[in-house]
Amino acid sequence: MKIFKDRNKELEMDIDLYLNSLQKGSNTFLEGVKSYLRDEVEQFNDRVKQITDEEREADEHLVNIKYVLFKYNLIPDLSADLLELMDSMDDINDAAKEVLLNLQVIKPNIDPSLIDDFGHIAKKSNKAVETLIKGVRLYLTEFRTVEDYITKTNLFESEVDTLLHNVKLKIFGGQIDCTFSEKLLLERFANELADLSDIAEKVASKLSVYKFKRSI
Amino acid sequence: MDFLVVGLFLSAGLFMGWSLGANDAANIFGTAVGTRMVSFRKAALICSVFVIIGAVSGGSGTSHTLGKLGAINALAGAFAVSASAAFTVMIMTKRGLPVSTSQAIVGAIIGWNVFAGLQTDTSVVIDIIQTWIFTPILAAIFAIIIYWIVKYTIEHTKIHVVKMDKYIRWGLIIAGAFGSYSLGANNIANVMGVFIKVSPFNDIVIGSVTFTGIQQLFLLGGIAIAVGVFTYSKKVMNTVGKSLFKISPINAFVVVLATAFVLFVFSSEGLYNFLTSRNLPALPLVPVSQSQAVVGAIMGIALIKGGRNIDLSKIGNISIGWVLTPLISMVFSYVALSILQNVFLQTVVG
Repeated sequence: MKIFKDRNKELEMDIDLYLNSLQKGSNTFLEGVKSYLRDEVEQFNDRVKQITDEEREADEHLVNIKYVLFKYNLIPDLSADLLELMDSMDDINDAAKEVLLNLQVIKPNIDPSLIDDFGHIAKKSNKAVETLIKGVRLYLTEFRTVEDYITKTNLFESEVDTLLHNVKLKIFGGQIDCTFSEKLLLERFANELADLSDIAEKVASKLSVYKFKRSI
Repeated sequence: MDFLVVGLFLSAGLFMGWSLGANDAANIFGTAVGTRMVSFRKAALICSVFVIIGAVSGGSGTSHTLGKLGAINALAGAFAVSASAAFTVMIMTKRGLPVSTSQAIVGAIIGWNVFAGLQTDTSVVIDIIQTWIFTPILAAIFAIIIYWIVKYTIEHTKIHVVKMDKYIRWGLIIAGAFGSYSLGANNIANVMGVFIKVSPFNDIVIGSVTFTGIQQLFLLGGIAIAVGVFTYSKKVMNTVGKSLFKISPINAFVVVLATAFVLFVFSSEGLYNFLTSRNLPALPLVPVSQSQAVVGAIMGIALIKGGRNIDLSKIGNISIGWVLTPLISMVFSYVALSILQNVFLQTVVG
């Protein structure tokens, strides 16, 4: 007779798969932005489809995580933290998908002089997310080493802020020949790219608190 | 003797057993059940089975010490002693005063000695009092050691938080089973110890196995504890788990294990014989207060965490219990014996 059905294993797997989906989503976001900036329409559309699937996949895992965690009352002392953490991370995928969908619909015209800047913002935002996900994985296993990843996430976020500021200076500095409304659209696009790192930073700050609760 | 009379006289012990099951099981499984790490049914079943095993197989050591304190030789006298201890526990609990069944029964036995005009062996009393004082201290020491080991393990291994949850659940069940066994072995003396000399049961021999009268008595006491666990402990467990001691499941594991070790070292004849045969100092086999061991273990954890938020009044409460409980119980016992002898014309001293 099995005293416990192995719900713990199910939950552990779901968390792992959820984080994988987030990681994949973030990478797809970067590749999608690159494709858009290179004007590779077919690849870009593929990425949009891919990120939509990955976001759906992540949502399914998140629902499972919530169900197993509450239904079987697993990790009662940490479940609230874990759920909050997982829920906050879902915003990353939502934001990433939103960027690609907006690009597909609005199709902002990126001035060639800004392509590298936008590319860098997307890259650093992706780095922030990637580092955060590594940190979350460590929170689940070796929580004492989480701080390094929190610091790195914050570092990437501040780099993104600097890049964002520079690109805004370029957009509104008169070097680009476009209307004010087009400039606002570019600024919005740049902000959306940077949003990912902002969300990563917010989750990282939560993680730095939750880390203490992991300690007995 | 008439079955009904025997039942009536044993009822005081059975009531003690019931109240022990209702209250002390909560100290073992309270946090686990309160936080829903372990279901009540599972906790109650494990607790009952292991309390009975502990009582039947390991209860003789502490009962022997109580026998040395006062060899009660009349069933009515044993009833009065047991009922007085139970009454003391009830009154003090109702008034919110710190109380322990172990301390109540010791006071009641001394009351019987006084009533019977017998000298109380002061060396046994000193041994018992030392044990009471040592119980929370030893529990704190055990808790600190176990806490260190658990903390080191958690911090230096890469166990996934979800897997850890599974291990903690198992840990709580194993520690709970051990705690229940130790509770049965240590505290059955409080429940049935005073009836040993007047046990109405005869030995039962099945093949090469002898089920002694004392073991039957302890089985009955164990069953009374189990009934207490099943009928009333759920409420207490939920109170302990959710409001009184808000400790994490990991710390609950540390507390339960430390408490179980304390009760074990004060009740294990095997350990006692092992140490004395090698001329090593051994702890006396004395029924101790599980609740005070729990408080000691929690204080141990609080100390290692920096000693902040330690409620020193708890230590004061324990000390009051050491003095007040046996005194009140002694007086009740003396009065009950007088009434039984003079009003109901029962033989209370053989």
